[in-house]
Amino acid sequence: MKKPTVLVVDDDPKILFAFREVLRKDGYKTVLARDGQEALKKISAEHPGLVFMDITMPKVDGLEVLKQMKTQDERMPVVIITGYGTMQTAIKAIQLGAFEYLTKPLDVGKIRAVTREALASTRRTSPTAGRHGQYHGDMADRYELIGRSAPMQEVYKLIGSISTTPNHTSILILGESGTGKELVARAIHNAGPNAHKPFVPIDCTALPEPLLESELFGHEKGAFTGAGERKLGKFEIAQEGTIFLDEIGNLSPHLQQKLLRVLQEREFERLGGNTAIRVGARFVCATNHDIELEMKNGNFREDLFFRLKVVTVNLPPLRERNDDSSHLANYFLMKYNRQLKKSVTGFSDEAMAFLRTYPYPGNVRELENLIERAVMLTKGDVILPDALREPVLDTSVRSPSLPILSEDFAKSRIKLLQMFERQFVSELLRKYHGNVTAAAKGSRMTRQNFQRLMSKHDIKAKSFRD
Amino acid sequence: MHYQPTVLITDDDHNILAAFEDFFRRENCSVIGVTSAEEALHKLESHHVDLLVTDVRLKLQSGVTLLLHAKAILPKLPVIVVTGYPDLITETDAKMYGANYFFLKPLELDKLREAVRTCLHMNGKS
Ligand SMILES: Nc1ncnc2c1ncn2[C@@H]1O[C@H](COP(=O)(O)OP(=O)(O)O)[C@@H](O)[C@H]1O
Ligand SMILES: [Mg+2]
Repeated sequence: MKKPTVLVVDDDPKILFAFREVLRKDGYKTVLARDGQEALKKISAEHPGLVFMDITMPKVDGLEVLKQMKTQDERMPVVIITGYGTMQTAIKAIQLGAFEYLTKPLDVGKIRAVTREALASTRRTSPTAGRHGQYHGDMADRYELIGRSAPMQEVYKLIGSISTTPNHTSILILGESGTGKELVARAIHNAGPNAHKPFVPIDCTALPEPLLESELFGHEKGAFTGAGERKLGKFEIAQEGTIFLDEIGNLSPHLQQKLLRVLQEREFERLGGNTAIRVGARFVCATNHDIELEMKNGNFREDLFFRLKVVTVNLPPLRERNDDSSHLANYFLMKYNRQLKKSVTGFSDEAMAFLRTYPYPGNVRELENLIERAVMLTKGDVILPDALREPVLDTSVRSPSLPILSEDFAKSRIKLLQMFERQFVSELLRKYHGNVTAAAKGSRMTRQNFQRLMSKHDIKAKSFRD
Repeated sequence: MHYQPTVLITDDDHNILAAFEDFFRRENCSVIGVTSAEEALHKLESHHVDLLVTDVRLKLQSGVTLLLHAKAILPKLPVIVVTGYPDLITETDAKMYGANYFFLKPLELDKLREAVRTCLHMNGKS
């Protein structure tokens, strides 16, 4: 059987060569192109069954080429490769119909697997549910999510798919406090066709029930004592934009019931009014995972929960994507240099090793606060461990109580245990300068067990070597 | 040798999952059954799958999240969405998210069988 042709597009000849070698071994014919224009020509001439394309190339931008490829042949799978893996490119690539989105460095196994998958997929013919979203990302830069770890790439891809669903599809964002739930809500808003409409965030814990109710629903003149003029509620103010209900787990039973009705009927009345008003906005709600527990305990309506989470985004805690902490640290360093008019250039190796292994019970928010404080304190060029460690140690000295991450005992115990293991292993490696044998000996564990813990938490000995 | 297609089924109700598994084995399919969207995504990345069948109402991430994710990584994978809660999601919505078929529980097995055959057929041919 004749194997299909694969087109590889990259401005780096080394990458082209590597692809050709891998694919040739598997029996595919490869066609190579150095830029987008050449790629489009080769597509008409060779009709490849699959394209791998780098996104950052001179002349025409890879995303633009992808768009043109998809107009030429909608069904040809195009795998996008990128060295950066930013949120915007991932979202846009998926919206434009990329088959897969890979970040460098690429490994051979992944190339093989994607090739197989992609070629298998074109043998299927189904009416493609075309994704015709358009990324309105320009105004989004301020709300960019930073992080290139695999779990965050999944989040970006999901944001891309979500942004093309209609506004009546509600979205629930789950994640510990400080993981970036509000940023994700904004990213969904900014990536969709209604990005120019209002984004209206409301913290359900910020106001007592009656005030929150009139904030959300608005009221007619004289609806209750103190209701002077007619006031529009957030549901109306949002128009066809997005209503972001943060900490939804804290909504009172009365408001839960009213919200359920709004979601079901897509309409509501102002307090004291009786005209039904259409809701055009998308509801994005956020909570920590404990909402399930609240439901079991009867504090949160099950029917509302299942309606809210028709689409769910799970944000992993920072300690489960440690690679991101160094990117985030550098990002916040720049941010606070600018804000505080400082010019700190970076982190000492030791400070970075600490940042990469600290378990961050407060997630990205905690990292951000840590960096802000360190930038403020640093007089020299680079941030040293002392500028970081002090607040962390301080709190642990002053309050011996452990952070309770969840009301659920079993969950809490697992999380704390993980934090402990991670910190324990890092501290020892730091003490023994990355010498695993010595660290294992110091801990009176076998080397195997110590290494098992290291790989469980993705801790690398070399980041502790001087 | 006859090709045995693989069906990935996601339902958090073990009884329904077992019933599905029986049904698909009788259809000569090899079956992977999981109870959560997270497990299903994991399987999609590590196994070749010819058809995805998912309930909408799952713990944590819902079946629709799974559907959107699956379609993002495997745009041509046929997907059948099943739900016992018609007010959570309509057929029109499910199809817009990329589902090929949408069924309400309790299932009419004849209709399901027909849908499965169409899905697997378009998968193998052309
Ligand atoms: N991936 C990220 N990239 C950049 N900043 C982030 C990221 N995640 C969180 N932040 C920042 O951390 C802080 C907390 O984020 P937020 O969205 O309010 O978290 P949550 O709503 O989950 O508590 C904000 O200042 C936000 O800008
Ligand atoms: Mg928040």
